[in-house]
Amino acid sequence: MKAILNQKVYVDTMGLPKELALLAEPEPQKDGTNHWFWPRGMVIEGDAGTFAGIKAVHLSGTGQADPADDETIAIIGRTPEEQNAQRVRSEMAAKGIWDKGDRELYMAGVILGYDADLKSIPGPNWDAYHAAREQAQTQTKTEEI
Amino acid sequence: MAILKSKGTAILVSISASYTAMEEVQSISVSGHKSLSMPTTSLAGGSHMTKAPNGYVETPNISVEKLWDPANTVDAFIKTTIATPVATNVKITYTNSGPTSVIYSCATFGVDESISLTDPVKATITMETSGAPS
Repeated sequence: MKAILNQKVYVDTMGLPKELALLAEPEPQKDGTNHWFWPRGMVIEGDAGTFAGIKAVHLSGTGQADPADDETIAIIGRTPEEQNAQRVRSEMAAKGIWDKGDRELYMAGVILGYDADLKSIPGPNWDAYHAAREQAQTQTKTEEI
Repeated sequence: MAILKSKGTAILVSISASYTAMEEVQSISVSGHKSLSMPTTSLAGGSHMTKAPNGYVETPNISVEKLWDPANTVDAFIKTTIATPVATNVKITYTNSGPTSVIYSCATFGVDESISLTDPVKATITMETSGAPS
């Protein structure tokens, strides 16, 4: 079973086998402690029945990883579109995007999430969205005149 | 003091040592975290009752309101954990510059489902925490 993380995944290192715990990176907290995470892009691979193998399937199921071999894809049983939709839902949950409007903007690629000041981080379609919105507003004003 | 907005706050559950965020959360409540006291009033004292910290802390309960999907990985895990209880870590990440995260060890989980005519299927998940948050 094989999967590739498509987002940062926080972990409890005490509950992991040593080889997977060693792959975790620290995220310093303000109180001086560390929280640990596996970085985006990390590969989890293992035989069926092993912790890594089960984890690859589990994280593919939650959308936090993309299945990377035929075996994992078959177990998950989703089309690429369904898997992508679950990935997007997982990202929104992890980023705390709850507002319906913001969720639509995220799914449309207009925003990538929030920055530390809770302003929207522009996505790849940010400029196109705002240009289209401005054009629609201008057209509405013209029609009213 | 930073004023934190609710948006951007995430709650994650540790499933087999990796955290997965709960989806479709509508509200999160962490309540009941308080220092405990002991009475120190004596007959020789004044009329007002007196107390002192007894050195113990009541741990908070976490309550989450969310849309409920039994097929969702986290929702299904919570149901399984109710039937076969095991201490489970839950992490709440607040959006501020940082960000700041707190991990609670949850001793028990509970789910109250709500299915009504005009609303989506919802649930209130309650978690009793144990020990100091980290």
